[in-house]
Amino acid sequence: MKTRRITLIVLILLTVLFIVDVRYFGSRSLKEPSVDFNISPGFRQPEAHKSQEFVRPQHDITSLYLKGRHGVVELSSAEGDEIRVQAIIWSDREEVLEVVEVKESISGRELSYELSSDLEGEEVGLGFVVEVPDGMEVTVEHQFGTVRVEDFLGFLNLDTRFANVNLNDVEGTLTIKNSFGNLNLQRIAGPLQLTNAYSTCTVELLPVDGGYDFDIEVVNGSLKHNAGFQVNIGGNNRVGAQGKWGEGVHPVHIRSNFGSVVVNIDK
Amino acid sequence: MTRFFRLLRKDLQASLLPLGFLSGITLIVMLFTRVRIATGSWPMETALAAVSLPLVFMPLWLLWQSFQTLRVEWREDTVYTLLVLPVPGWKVMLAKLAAVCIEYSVLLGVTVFGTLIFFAPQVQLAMEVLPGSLWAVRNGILVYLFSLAMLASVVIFVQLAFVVSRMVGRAQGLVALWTLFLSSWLVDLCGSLLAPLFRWLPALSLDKLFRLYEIEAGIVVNWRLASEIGSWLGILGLFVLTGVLFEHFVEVNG
Amino acid sequence: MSITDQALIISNLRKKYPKVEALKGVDLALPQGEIWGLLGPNGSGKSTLLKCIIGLVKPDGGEIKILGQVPSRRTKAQIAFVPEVENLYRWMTVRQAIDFTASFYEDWDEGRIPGLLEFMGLDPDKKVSSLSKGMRARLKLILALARKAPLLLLDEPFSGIDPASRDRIVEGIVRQFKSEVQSMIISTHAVGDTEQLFDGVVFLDEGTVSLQGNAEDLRDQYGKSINDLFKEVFA
Repeated sequence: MKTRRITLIVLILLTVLFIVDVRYFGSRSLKEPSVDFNISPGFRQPEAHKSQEFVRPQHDITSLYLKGRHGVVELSSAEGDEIRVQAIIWSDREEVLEVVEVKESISGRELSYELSSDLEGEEVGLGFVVEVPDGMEVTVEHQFGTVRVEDFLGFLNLDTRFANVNLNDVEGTLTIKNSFGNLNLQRIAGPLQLTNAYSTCTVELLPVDGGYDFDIEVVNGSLKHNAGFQVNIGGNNRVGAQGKWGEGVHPVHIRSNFGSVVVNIDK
Repeated sequence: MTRFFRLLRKDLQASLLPLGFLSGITLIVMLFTRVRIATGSWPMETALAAVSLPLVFMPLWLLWQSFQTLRVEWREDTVYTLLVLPVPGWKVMLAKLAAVCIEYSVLLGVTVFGTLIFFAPQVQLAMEVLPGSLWAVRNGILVYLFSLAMLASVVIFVQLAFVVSRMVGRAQGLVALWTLFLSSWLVDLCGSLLAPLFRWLPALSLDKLFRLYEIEAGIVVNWRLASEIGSWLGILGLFVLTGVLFEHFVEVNG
Repeated sequence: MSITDQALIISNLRKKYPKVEALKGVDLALPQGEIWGLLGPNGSGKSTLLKCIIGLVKPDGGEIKILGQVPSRRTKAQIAFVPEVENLYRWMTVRQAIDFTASFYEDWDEGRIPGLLEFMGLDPDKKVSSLSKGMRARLKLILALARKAPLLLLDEPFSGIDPASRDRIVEGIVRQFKSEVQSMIISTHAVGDTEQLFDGVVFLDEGTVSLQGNAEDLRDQYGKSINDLFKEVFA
């Protein structure tokens, strides 16, 4: 009995203290939480930037390699035989800009541009504005940013992660590897090899002579197309579509995991 | 420590049956889901919901288990054995707490094992976009330890609530719920009151551990230790109190 | 008799439950080396008294001295208690129950176990849940008698069990009890032929001691057996 009485008294006292706490010190509950979860904070607003320009005659250079991050990459074909590359380096500290620069190198027939050092722990962004002669092979590796390709004629290889990719009026051979970023390919003509994961992907193909030979497989996602042949539903949450449009000369090979794929032919 | 381990072994042995049952159910749900995916019968959303079901159920079961592990001693009169043992109350409580934590770890292990076995392609796919298996293991362990600490604190609240409800003897459910509520408030109060004493401690930043690739994406965690330490001291205090109450003030049925 | 000769001294012990006052100022002194019977009908406070001694319920007043000490973790180590209820873990085997209990008491005498198991007719590999009530009562007694505890408290050890088990338990107590170093209280509401076990008796009636003393003295004083006296007092 004694124990019960004392326990009840303690509970009542604590309840009174709780009421007093809520009534008079209520703001205490608004204290900042002890744990912050910040999901995908991305790149902080850059404080400073600098740009470097490179202009080279094409001569026997057949391919261009660009490695960027955070910034915007803009690529297009232009008349003439000059390769024009404007590199824009971003950082939130001026001191970083003083030590970092874009390195140009030539290896065989390949010209490449990338940051001179990795500067571990520093937030540095690198974007490009590039014009190349028709028919060149261009490889772009980019993460966290945007890649825009317009009016391009040639061989294009893209390796992108966490980036939005927009292609308009691109003619040639395309090889794209993309994850965690939306992919929007408009008015594309030519063979296409696309590997995609965790993103939405829209492909609008131009009707070209010779037509297309489709081989599409989507795992854990959806597939829509207007090429006129059937979508097969397989095991393991796998859907696929194989078939020819026209004579089936240009291969369109798409593999996608965890994402939706829309393929349209602009008839 | 022999006595503690003997108590722990007893509590683990007592929960072998439900633990085995739940582990089996988890694996069966996974296997069933795997078959449904393979035959294309279920869309990914349904499959994910089915696989998540045991994970959602697990914390509820553990909470129930932490309550049940004490309640069953009274229900089956084995508390007559437990209360006459010449061991400190905190050892009895610690054994029960450790048993629940081990059960959680086993269930989690079974879930991870099942995922690796039945969903290997999906896991492989997920691993492709992560910085590496070492990253996954390191962060997995970190998340596991964090969840274990959370579980332990909740179990301590439940133990205190149960012991207090036994001491009052009437309206036990209501008293237990109110004690649960008051104890979480007390711990919060401890955290606030003691925080100024620990202001000198820096916030523990776990962002590097959580980085995706080498860049600032993913989950950044800033853990302010000042108020956390106060809260954990409060929880420790409640644990000691539970042990003392259990040893000296709790009674068997009249 | 000096205080040090007493295994247990209880003064003015009181305990109240919400609806009943179980103990109303009980005084008791148990001499060392003796077996005393705590006698009384159901609800007279016998179990509550034993629970107070071992610490399973908390008295509201009065004093308990066990071998000169107040109840504590240390006195728990000195008492072997057999409760009236089924306190065994049912999922354990007989062996597991023995090992579990053994690991908590320094006075455990493992050497006694084979003999006790054989005498009580218990299979160590059997599960507790598969034992009959009488067999479980025997096992509870083994767990108490395997210890060299200075004080043994047996709460209704003969209640609701078959005559064969009852006889075994009585015989077991007689065989294992070491009067040089041990004292014992056996509570019961049916005296019967267990009367011969008792060196002294306490009659508990509605929470108060109505009669206590040396069994032989009481027989001489009232000219009756303890059993007859019990029937007369609680008629």
